[in-house]
Amino acid sequence: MFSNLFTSSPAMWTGLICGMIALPILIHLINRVRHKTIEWAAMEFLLKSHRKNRNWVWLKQMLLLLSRIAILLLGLFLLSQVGCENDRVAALMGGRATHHYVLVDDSFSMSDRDNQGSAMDRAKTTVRQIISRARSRSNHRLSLLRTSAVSLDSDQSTRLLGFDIDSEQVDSSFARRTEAVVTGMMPSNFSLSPEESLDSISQLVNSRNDENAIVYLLSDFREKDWPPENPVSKALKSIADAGAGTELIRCAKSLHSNLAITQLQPLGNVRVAQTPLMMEVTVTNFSDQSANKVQVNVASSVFSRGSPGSDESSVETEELPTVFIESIEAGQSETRRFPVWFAEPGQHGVKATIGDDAVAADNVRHCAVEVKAEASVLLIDQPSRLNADFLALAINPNNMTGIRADIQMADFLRSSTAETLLHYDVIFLCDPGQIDETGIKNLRQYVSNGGGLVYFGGPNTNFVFFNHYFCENGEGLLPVELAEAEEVADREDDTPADIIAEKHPIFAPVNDVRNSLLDLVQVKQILRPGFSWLQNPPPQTKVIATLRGDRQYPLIVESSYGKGRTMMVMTTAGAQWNNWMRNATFPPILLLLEDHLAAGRYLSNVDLVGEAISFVKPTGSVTPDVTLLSPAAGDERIESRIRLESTDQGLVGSIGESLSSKVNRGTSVPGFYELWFRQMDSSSSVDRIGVNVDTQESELLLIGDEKLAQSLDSDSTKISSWDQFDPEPERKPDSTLHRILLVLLFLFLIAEQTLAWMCSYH
Amino acid sequence: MPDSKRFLHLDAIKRISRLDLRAKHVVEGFLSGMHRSPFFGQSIEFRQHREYAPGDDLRHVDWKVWARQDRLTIKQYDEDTNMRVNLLVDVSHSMKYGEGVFTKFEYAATIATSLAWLVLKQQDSVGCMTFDDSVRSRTANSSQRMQLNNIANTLEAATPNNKTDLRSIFVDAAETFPRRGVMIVVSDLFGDLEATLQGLRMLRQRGHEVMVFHVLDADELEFPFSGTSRFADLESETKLNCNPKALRDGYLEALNEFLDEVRRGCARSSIDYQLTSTSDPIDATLAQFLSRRMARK
Repeated sequence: MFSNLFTSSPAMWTGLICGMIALPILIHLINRVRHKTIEWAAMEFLLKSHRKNRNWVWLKQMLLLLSRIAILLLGLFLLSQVGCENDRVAALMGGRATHHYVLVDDSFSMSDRDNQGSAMDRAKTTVRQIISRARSRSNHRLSLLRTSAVSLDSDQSTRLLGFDIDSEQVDSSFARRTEAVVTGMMPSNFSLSPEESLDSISQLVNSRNDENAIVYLLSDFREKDWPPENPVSKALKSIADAGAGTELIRCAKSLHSNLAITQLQPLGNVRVAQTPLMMEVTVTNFSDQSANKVQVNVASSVFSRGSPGSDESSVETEELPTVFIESIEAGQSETRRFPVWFAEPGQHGVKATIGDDAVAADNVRHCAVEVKAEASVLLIDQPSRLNADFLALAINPNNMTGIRADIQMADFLRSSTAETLLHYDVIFLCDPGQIDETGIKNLRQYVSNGGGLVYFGGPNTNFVFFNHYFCENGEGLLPVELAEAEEVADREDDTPADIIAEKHPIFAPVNDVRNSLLDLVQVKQILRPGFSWLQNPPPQTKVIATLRGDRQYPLIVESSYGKGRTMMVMTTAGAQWNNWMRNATFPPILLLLEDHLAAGRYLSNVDLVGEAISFVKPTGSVTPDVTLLSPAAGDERIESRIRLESTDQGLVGSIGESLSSKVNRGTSVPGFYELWFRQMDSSSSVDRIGVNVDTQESELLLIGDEKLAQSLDSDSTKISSWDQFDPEPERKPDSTLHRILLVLLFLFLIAEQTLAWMCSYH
Repeated sequence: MPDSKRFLHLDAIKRISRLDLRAKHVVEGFLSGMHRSPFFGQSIEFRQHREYAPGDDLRHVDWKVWARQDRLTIKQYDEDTNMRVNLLVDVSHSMKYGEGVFTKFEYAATIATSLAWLVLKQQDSVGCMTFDDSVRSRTANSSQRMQLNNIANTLEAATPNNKTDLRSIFVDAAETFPRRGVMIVVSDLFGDLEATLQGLRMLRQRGHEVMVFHVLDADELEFPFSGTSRFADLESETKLNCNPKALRDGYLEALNEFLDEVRRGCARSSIDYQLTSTSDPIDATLAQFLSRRMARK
């Protein structure tokens, strides 16, 4: 009853104190007015007594009055718990307030659900209990923050906290005011550590010296998040060092079974319509028991071309055969491959789902696949085309692979632009001789942007030119310093094969195969690197095939340049220096080589929710205004606009508010994001991006209280669970001031009774 | 023999409205307890001796003569029919106070009437004078039986009023009653004490035998009040708001000092003094007073 009274305004307090002072005086005055009248004869003696005792009586009555006022005031102060933790008078006088910082972990593992609700439901219940605890006292404030509500400002120097409740006074209407906020808290799709939030709260606590702070962390406390000496423990210690109380409240107590799709990606880099594309899906069992008979439902979505909002835009979903996994051991992953066949070119989406379990967010995974009508490679050869014809035939035998080989002369490189070359997945340079400097420049830009480049040597190789423009002292497109052409001695019968292939994806058909057909290949002549290079090759180079012999001269050297991959083959593509093109291993290895080098064009980039996704378009290719269709809860899609900025790299844009944000709410929902561009010819094009949750959060193994306590740097941190949380405020021992007030009250009561007896009021 | 004392409870006496009847009850009760009036013989003077004759009351034999002369003689007295008793009854406003069965005035009137009854019963004359700051009524002395009615009527007609001025009353009484007599003052004696004692001394100097019935209410003797009260003086406009319990000790001290002064003043002037409370039974008060007086004789 009294708590409401004492959480009232200062005006109420002033009234109470005035009332306590005035009450005995009023009663005294009323008693004087409400006297009985006695007609008295012996007045002389009464007056004599009155004259004699007047001062003493007045003094006693005054003391009695003061003692009664003091008793009432002392009672008021004791009821207001002066000197106690919940000192309402101190609060009224601008004393130290108590600030409850409630940090709720809203990473998607908080959606961990059982029959009684999710961890987030328990966190909400606990928040209400904390509010109830704070409401029973006066001068308490509360701030509510979710871990996903931390961001950095534009210069990334200051963290911004998006409080759901920002330092609001807890009064009788607080729970009603904030109920919608508490109810509206939902687990996000992010995988977040509370470190940044706690660091920010620590700074707040340190800056607010005029309040007692209590920091609550409501989380599920998974073992993966709490290794020894983790940054969260340091942040908690920092808070404790600032004098604040810290309380960790566990919202999940038991481990539930959880399967997650941790990977979904295409395997090949030749993605052509009407050509099967192999994809692989990986399911991880984050439980302590094996999972049996796991079914992965796969569906491909075909997005028809059109503009957003128009009838032309439509999505057709095709269910693919279910991928069946017999068993996944506890803590293990199983990967299965499955073919996907796309009838039409365009942006396609593949979506894999598994059945419901404790955490739903990781049961689905999205992958966007761009399928072309055909893949193109560029073959640069001499006019004689001694090499290119072999290659063209091997790359697309009987038009089965969907790869179109475009044979050009070296001049083509000079006359082309970087954008023209981007149409090709790989460029094969077949003993091209000298290339125009402009062509070299275009090649560098092409490879930097992810293109693949293969250089086949041959008799036309100009060593000086090559070393100057391609090797560039080990930093060029093909960082192999060539010395001379060297003939290879004929092989004797008992000597090993000419080509010794290392373990490499392009040699997959021959690796670990005894008596492979590759052993039949004969190499007559090669380009030999300089000895200095042989002794100290650049670090970005890797020899993946060598020539037989004691010296084991490199035959194929792999390297990288920018986003792209390059390969230097020390012999000819045609039949001049070897007979490989006549070997049956040549076409598959060549196709794998093409696939391998084209990987730079199809970087396997997994976009996660909360990340800012940037994209670049060539300058002048599209208009700066882009329409973004973002997934939302359910099947709805949200349309928004993005403005591209012109930079040296081209037109740059990003999905999300800012690249500096800790959590990008622009990509907060997993699914397919569509970027609709308007090209200069007024036609539209679309890029699709599959965004998924971070499956690191799928690990639900809980950390025990003891282990959690060990991982904390602070002994003062209290660890409890939601069902142990006591909404009633913990009573601290009375302070010395409180005890003094009690003794004073007792003494004043005795004094009042004595004075009343002396004044004959008994 | 019926015990008439059972009728002498204060409440019973109070219910008797007529003073003469009230006095009769008081006195009869008193006599039935004493068997003999202590006044009997007090008003008779020795006349002569005579020879004893059979049938004479042995109580009248003069044993001293028998011891000296060895003969029985009877003492004979002349009955004094001239003893004049004057009752001076205070009817000032202060006598109006009374929270018990009687007010002080009622109590005083009852005492006065009872004494008048006794006096008339032994053939003496009795008169009555009521006063406050001046004489309010006079009833001339008489030994007639009707005198009791006269006195009772006078007292019943009296209404307490005005202040008290005892000294002027006593001066007036001394001049009004030049012959020696018995002056019985029934009053609360509130007023100027020195002047009061002076007046009493003057009466004594004129040869009067003076008896004082000092009538006070039980409240005045004990001051039992509590709670915030306003005391209004009956004889003036003085008012006092106070907590009576806080003043009780001082009051009783002042009152006892006053009573001691009165007692000492009466003793110095050989005045019979009887302090009586309105809560005391009147017959007991009379008995106590007259017994003490007889013992002193």
